[in-house]
Amino acid sequence: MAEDHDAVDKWEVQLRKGCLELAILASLWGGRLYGLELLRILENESDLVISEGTVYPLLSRLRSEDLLDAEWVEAELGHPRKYYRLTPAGRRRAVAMARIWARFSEKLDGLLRAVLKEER
Amino acid sequence: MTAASGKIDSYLRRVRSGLRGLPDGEVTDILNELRAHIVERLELASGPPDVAIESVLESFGRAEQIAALYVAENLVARAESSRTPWTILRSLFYWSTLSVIGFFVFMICVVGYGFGVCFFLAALMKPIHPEGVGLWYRNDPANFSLHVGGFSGSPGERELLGWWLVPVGCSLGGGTILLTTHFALWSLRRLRQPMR
Repeated sequence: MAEDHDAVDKWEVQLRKGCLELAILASLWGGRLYGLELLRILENESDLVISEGTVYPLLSRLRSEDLLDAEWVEAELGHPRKYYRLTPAGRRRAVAMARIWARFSEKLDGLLRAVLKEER
Repeated sequence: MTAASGKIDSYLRRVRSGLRGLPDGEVTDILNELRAHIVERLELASGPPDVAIESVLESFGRAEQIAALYVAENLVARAESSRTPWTILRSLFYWSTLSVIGFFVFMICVVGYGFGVCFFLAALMKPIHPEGVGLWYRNDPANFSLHVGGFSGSPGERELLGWWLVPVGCSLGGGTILLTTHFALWSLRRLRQPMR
């Protein structure tokens, strides 16, 4: 039973990890955001982030892949913030990933309906 | 200095020590961004900063893990950006200085690339020294031998491939280098740790 839980936990971590990149690109679809704003959206809308700091290395990679641009902006009050925005390549990647996700989840939902119905 | 700012400094020092090998400018940029996040979280937290800092840092994640993720992302990005054996080996060498698994992956890839280069060299040398380079075979139960290359077949050895060594050497060389590259990139991608 404990092994079962472990396996499900590992699977969930991998699933979250795999989806985080798409969630970040989708969060930035509406415009530029800095790290904390992005995290708030991810926390409220996606339930994907386990520890906050792990998002920053991912942002760094997306930037090195030219999917995101980043710039430091001096805030009127408080500290400078590093804002991220999607590049044209990032927008194309977001659309491509969103299409795959929508197709994939629609089909999987159909399969899962029977499992969840049985469980009730 | 308040206790909170001391804890932030100490946390960021731990991150910095895990980021060794990354360019200085990048490290400074990373630390500035993490500091900005932690300080703003702290300002938004309820209660005195010296107490709230513990939960802020806890929800941010372990300093060593954050640094390791940055290093992993950096290694993968560097290796994937060029995909040349030299860049990949440099990334793997850096990884080998950080972990035992990294060391083994590095060694396997050195051997893989080494074999690939040897196959290519044999194919290249065949037209230059047709009699001396080949796939040599000695069917002696006491002293069995099968090897590629060499500048002269030892007594009792027979060359098996002839001019086929050129296409076979090129294919095996290319295939081995390609396979090694795929293995290296696959290993590096697995280096990205789960988010916990």
